[in-house]
Amino acid sequence: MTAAAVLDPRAARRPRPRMFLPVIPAVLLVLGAVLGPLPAAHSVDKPVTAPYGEAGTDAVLGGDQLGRDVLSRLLHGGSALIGSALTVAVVVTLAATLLGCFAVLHPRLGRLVERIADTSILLPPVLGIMLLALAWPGGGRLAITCAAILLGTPYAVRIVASAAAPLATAGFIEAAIAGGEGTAHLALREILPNLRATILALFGLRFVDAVYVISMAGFLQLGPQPPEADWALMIRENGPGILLNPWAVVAPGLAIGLLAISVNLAANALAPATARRAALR
Amino acid sequence: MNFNRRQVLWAGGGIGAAALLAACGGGDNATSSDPGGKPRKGGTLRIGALGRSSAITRDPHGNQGNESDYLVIALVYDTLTAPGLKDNTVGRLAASFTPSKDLKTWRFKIAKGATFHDGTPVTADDVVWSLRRLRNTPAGAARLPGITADHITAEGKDTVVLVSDYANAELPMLTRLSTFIMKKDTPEKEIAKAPGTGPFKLDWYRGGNARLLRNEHWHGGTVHLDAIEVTMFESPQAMANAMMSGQIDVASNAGAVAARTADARKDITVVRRPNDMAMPIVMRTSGGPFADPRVRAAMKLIVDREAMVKQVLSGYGTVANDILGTGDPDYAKSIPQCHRDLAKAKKLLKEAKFDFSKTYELATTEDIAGLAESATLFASQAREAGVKVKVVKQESGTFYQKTWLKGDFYTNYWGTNDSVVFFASKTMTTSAGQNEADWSDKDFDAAYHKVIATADPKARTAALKDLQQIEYEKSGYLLWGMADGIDLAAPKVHGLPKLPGYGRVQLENVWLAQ
Repeated sequence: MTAAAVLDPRAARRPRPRMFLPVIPAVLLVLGAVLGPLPAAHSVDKPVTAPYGEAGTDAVLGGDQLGRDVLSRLLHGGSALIGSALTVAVVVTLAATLLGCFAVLHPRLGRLVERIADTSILLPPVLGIMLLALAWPGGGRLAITCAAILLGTPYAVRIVASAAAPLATAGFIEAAIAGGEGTAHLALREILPNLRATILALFGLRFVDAVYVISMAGFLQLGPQPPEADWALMIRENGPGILLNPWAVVAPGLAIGLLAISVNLAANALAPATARRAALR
Repeated sequence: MNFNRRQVLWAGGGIGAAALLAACGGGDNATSSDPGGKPRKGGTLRIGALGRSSAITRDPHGNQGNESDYLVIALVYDTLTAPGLKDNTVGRLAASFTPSKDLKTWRFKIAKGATFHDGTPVTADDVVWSLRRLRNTPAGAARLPGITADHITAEGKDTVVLVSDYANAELPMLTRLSTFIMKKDTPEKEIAKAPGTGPFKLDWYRGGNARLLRNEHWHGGTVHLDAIEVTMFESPQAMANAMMSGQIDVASNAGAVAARTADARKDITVVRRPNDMAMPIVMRTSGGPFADPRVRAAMKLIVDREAMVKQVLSGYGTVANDILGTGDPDYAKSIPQCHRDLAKAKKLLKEAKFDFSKTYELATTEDIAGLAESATLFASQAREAGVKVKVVKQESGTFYQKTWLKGDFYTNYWGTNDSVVFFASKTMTTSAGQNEADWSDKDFDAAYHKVIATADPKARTAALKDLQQIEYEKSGYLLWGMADGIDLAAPKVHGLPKLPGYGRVQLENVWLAQ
């Protein structure tokens, strides 16, 4: 198959060690967040120092609004955020990939998906989340995760569909159609493997977007409730004391930023080089 | 408009007028005694106060949800009486007040030389008209308890007679609630511009901000400032920032965190007014999990009061003992302080067959600094006793509609720390307008009526002690601490009020050094 030869990913692949280098920070950060509660010196809800106490021996990054250890809360606070962001990114990417692949093969389904996506892209995520939070009080983190999935999917479908569109008319697809293959085979066996770069890039972007949406909801106090140690909630809660102990705000802020950047870098690095450029263009 | 708690709060305390003492010849002891030399005339004081543009009001007898509005109104209009530092109640527009023998009829004599801003003298008719207008608001019954509009009458030119339905030795204290005096027959349309009798007169008012000019002919004494500019801030943080950057001279009620931030700055004075605000946790007594007095007693034993004061208030406050009204001179210090005792609490809970498997929701708001934090810390303290408490933060509007007066378990605050009787009458006697815990106790009601019907100070103190003992043992209030009131001021500002509650709105003795 000539088309397959042209798109052979091996041609574009970089040497392995260099490829994995940008992945390391993300892996470390995620590992750190997941295993964080183990090395944490204090519990998340016990005061150990003065409110907004300065960084010192009993609390390395000082205290928060109630004098609880900022470092311990930071170590505890990441896993839930990463977990929900990961869930959102995986579900959105999966749903978008499937919908996108099938949409290009069925023009009618394609048009329907496109219209729905166009309409829902117009709804600002903040508004959507607030609506859901109002309709589902007490939904907490689950409600925010659902909202992020619902609001993130349409946009992702459009990206997958537009990346898959040229493939749908490619020779190898026509050959497969002529060979009598069904839609599922065409979508999953013929189109999907060629979208790897797009999907990885998409996953990276979706993860960053999910972190952004979930943190924003946390900051607006729509998701996790105190005394939960959530990074976004920590930023919000400790705002008034920023001059007394800047770490209480800066540390979780840095953590969120680092997480988003490093995961995006990692997803980017895993995608084939040529295709990556094409997908991110 | 419903009468909500906030307005009692503002109204009641507001009258914390007592800086007035000076004006009434009581000396300067109600204001901070900073060595600033002799008061100097002149200057404009720029003061920041909290408020929300959605809650702006200009009616002195309306709902003053905004501290900024309350401040403006309290400077323009006088109340009949005011809380004092030495005496619980001192006169303001009323020079004196005397009861009849049966304590039902009270005569208020208007201060000599009191005039409105337009120069006309204040007559008893003006006062009667204003008090009747106040009584006829939806919240009138709570503002002038036990006095119907027909029982407010004038006697001659300068005496107003109030007749209570029952003997009430505390009537002057209870009438401190928003008794702002306006001119007789002020049309509703002109309420916002109506002349008052206060130390300042209104220059302009725009969207919550106002400029006030000195009233040269104020009956209460000399006013030093030329003008006061009130700026409304929506959040304490914004106000503190304006203070730090020198845009205002005084930040009213800025909170402990702002005070600690300002401590590093030599050019900002922190004024602490102890015993300012009560921050109780309210437990419903008429139903739900806290209806059993043993459960309530256990909650009072679970809380670590010292830790709450230290962590929630940054130490800017004092431990309290579940009795509201800590500012009362007759506050019962002899009742033993309640301390944390988890073993005893658990035993009580077991006796009451308390359901440990359930999670109990504690509703709270972010209305004032430290409130939500107190709920969070209490939840973690309760966990140590095996009681699962989940904190539910509510938006202020939702809280007042759905939780306040109705909820099983919620945090609350009162900026009116006037007296034990004030809280008893407003929040604890059977069918009181703001009975937050829905508490009804025959012994307590009897004790309350005994207190207010007793004129003899000794007998009254004894009766008040009984009242506090019942409140301590059974009421639905878990009062863990009292927060200090904290104002930030530039060093040139002198004579700021140091009374708790709304004493801080009385700015007539303030002066600016050069």
